[in-house]
Amino acid sequence: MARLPQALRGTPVGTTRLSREELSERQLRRILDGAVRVFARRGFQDSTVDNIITAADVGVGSFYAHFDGKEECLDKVCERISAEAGDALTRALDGGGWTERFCDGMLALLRFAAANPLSARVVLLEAQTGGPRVLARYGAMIDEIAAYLAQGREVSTLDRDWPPAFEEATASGLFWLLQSRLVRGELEEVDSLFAEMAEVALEPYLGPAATRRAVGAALARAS
Amino acid sequence: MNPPDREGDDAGLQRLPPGRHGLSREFVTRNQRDRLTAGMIATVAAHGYHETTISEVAAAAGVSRRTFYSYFDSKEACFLDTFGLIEDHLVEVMTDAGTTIRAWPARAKAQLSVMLEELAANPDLVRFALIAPPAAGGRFLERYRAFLERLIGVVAGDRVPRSKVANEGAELAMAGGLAALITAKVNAGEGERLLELLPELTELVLTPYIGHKRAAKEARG
Repeated sequence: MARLPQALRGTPVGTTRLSREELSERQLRRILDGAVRVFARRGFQDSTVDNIITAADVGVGSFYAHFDGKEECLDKVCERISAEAGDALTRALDGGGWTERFCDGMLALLRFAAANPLSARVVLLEAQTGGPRVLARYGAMIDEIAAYLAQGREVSTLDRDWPPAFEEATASGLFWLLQSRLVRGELEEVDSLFAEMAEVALEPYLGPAATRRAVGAALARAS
Repeated sequence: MNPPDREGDDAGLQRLPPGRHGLSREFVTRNQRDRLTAGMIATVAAHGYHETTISEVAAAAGVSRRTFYSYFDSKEACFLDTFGLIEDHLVEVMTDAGTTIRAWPARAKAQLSVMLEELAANPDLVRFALIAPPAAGGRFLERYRAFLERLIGVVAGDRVPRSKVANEGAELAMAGGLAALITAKVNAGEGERLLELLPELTELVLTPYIGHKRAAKEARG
């Protein structure tokens, strides 16, 4: 019986399956990496599947093996960025009360955004344009921040009434501020941006002096 | 109500006495253009910018695609023109509302009040100018952000005495808060009741300039 050259012999089934999964996993990562760059630079609406596969250097078949179109791709991109940001947030949180947790968490998220400006752009700006599913994800981020802020009413020692949708307005305002800086390319100055945002978020509950102290303490903890 | 104009209604123009052609043509033009504006607002409000087609806008305006193209080169041009008209209109009524009131916080409240009244009279304006542009992305998002900051500028810009803004971030954030509250109300199907937001919006908008205590007093007063 003639022996086939090594290169033409089949590999054992188990190995093939594993490497195929690995290959698919690696391809997915490449597509998501490419998609972040494309969406951030061109804007989601002006991006095509063709742009993405070119940036990722994969075939069109690979793309459609993972996604049914660019909307689903954006959704998965946002999901991955949220998970990464969530990891950064978890690492930064180390006990403390409502104020400390808010400060530590926000500072960690701003640093994540500054270190990953393309990801920040996709999640904060392009997500609004990506259709209902991604928009719902975007809305949920705002709601989550608003819900956390609302606990400040319990913590507050100020004699004050807050309007009903106050936290919704504040959370949307924080996003607006962040988007403004992002658009102007001023996301690098994390510490001063953090101080501004903390003021918007915390002063209504803590007053100016305690807010300044909380900001200073958070910056000291993080350095 | 105007009867729908027919495409190339030259017969009507020819029947007019000599010397009035210019005026009549201008009238027809104005009229068609107004209808295209209204058609653009209604269509974008209903479907969003990217889902809107020129055929739909033309149909809603009761004109042909050809007529559309005699006024605008593209859907984007029509959208931006319409956006500019809405912006200028709101700025005008808000500025007018402010002229008779000298004290600044009261003037700001009156301006927010007429803004809400205008939007409540046609909640499609909110869908067109506040809901559709962020979803359209890119330069539309930028246009929308500039629009909101201009409205805030009208309310806050001519305050006397010109109090210092403690935090530029707070001023910017307030624009986002304003948009969020108005949008949420319209999305909840309560666009006709936008005026209910007046106390909350007044407090939100005044706080960066005069602090929340005085802002709350002005808002509820």
